[in-house]
Amino acid sequence: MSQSHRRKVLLIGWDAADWEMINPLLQSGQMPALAQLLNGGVRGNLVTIQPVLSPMLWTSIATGKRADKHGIFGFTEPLSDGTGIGPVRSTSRKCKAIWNILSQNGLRSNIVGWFASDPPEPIDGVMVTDRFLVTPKGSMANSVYPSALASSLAELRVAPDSLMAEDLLAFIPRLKELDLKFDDRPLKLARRLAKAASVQAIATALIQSEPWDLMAVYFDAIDQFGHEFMSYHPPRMQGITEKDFELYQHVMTGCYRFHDMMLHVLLQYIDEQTNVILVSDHGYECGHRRPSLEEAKKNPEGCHRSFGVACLKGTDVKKNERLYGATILDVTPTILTLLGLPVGGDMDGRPWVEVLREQVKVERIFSWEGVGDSAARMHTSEARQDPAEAAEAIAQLVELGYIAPPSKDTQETIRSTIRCNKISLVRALIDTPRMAQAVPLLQELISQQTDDEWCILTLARSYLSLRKLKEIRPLLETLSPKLQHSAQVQLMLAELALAEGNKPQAISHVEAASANGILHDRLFNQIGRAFLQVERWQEAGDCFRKSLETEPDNPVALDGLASIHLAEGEWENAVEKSLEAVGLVHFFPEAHFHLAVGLERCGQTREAIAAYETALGLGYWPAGLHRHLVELYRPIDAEKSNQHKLACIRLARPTIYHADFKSKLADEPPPNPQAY
Amino acid sequence: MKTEAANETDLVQNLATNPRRHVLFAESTPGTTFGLVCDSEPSSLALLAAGVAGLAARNARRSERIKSLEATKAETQTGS
Repeated sequence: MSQSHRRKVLLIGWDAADWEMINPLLQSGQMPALAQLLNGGVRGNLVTIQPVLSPMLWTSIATGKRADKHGIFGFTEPLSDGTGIGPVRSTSRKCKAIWNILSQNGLRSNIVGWFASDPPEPIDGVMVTDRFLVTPKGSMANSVYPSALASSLAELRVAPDSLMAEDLLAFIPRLKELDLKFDDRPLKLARRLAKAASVQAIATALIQSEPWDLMAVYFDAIDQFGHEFMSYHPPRMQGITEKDFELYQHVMTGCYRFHDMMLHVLLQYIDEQTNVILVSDHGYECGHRRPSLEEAKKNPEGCHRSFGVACLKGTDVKKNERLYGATILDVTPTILTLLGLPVGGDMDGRPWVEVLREQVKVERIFSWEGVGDSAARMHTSEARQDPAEAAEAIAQLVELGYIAPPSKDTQETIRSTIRCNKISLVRALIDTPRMAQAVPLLQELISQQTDDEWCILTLARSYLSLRKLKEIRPLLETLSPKLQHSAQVQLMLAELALAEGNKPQAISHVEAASANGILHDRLFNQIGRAFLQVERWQEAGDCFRKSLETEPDNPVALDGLASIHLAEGEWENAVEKSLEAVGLVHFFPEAHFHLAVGLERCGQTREAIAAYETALGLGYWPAGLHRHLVELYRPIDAEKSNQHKLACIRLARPTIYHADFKSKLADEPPPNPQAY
Repeated sequence: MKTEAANETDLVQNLATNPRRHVLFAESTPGTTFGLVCDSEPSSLALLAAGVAGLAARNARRSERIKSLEATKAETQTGS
């Protein structure tokens, strides 16, 4: 970036903000500040990563890395003294966050309320941790850096009992009809509102009083309001009484409007050198796909949608553009680029250069880890955790349903926490997918608890990906008979039969899955993909179309339709669907490959090459794609053609770096473009 | 005084019967109303959203309210 003027970035985090809630409010003029941000700015979907758990996601946002690299695996972790569990701590983070990288480059950050930021790191700037907002007065100095600011910032914390009835009336207009002795929902609302107001008060104080290059403010209220009140949002859901609906139907709208009011205020404090980025870590189901109140309490993660929001505006950002294929992993690389710093080569995201005004050649450093660490102002030693503070934070998480109440047996609680975090790591690994790394963890988890059906199914799926076919059937036979007949197991058996070359058996399993499944979009997609594998295009197409009816922002279904178009020789339609798919999710190598094949068949060679290279860059079928690119480049760029030839030769050599897990993966060739 | 969404009907009625309650809402940009806006002062919620700048005003308003309530209570007790 041109740095003739010192650039600044204001990063605002709205946990669980979702365009499906925001769009109608924008259209009816109820979020004017956000409308102002979008007018002349950029907007897009922000794809989340698995598992959709906020501490992991906000750490990924702040590091540009997935959980296996950053080391934050859940809401809680065992206390270092073994006396129980506590909220996840910043001391568990294994890599630098954006504020460490800025510190070592002489740039200042003010960080307010960020998830998993406690205890605070001694950064260049100010760090007010998430714990500071709930910690008792006596120990709050441990949650602010520099600690000298703690007492003055504590004055800005808004206590729930300082709220007045009229503060709540915007959310619950009929508040006076409620008896708070019997209905504690208004009090829960007050607690969440007070916390958001505390963050805002502290942020608006620091934004004026402390110099900054990065100001990052995190609000958890939309997510927390959602877990308590989304069930009452119109249209009325089954199981919600008419009275409750009438009383609480305005809460979520009020919550978004309150955030808009806070946004309006924050935007008053920035200058023209500031680029603003507003993001959410995931979306939140607000329409007909909302889980029932009971299901939502049992599995809060099930309320989350894969697509969060991203908005950018500022002097370095293009006007009125759309951002496509963005993920939460891109936020840190984008901030680094905006501030003129290189992106770490080990970061999993990419900077959003396509929406920056100037053409940027992204600078890269191999890694920020191990470079300039003495100036990065990270933790030098683990701070002791106060169990009383931890208990308060745990109680909030229990109330939200994120975690079970701590059991009487502390050791069991610790064991169960470690297990949960290990499962989160497995989920992060298979999301990429790195099955070879997940397998030993799954084997360990199953050895500790032999009836864990999720682990058994996931291990079977991993074996299938790694083509360890002999291991699969004995494993599936340990499942309960009911689960053995479920759609997901039948689909796995279909894939297994295909891998063994038994197509009729595969078809029979797909048909069984189709008959047995509880049909939601993901299952439609799985069945659709299974039909694709047995070349039943009509049935596959029906499944993907049904899936799209259930979830329109659905890259897997779109890519499935693209595959069908390719199989049927409808190249332009294939390109159209593939473009839609990669527009939703950039990290989708297979969709880039299908796009490339479609473009090549349409005669758009240069565009096809770009798409093949993107797929290759995402790790898709290196041997085949390098080979294909040798041929495509041959008539137009001899040097490039030779480069790919050399890559083919390198790939053909035996691997000597045994630590590379990819070398352990079976080399399963994906479909050859010539097959279409 | 301006009113906006239908869900504020109850508030309007409430305000009419109890004008001292100052049920006020924010005005985010000129012409855009969040709830019910009184011409004389910003709403309590707007002050909450205003962050540090709004807190002092809220605290002052709250103290005034408490004083007023205490005075009313004292008057009632004296009267009875």
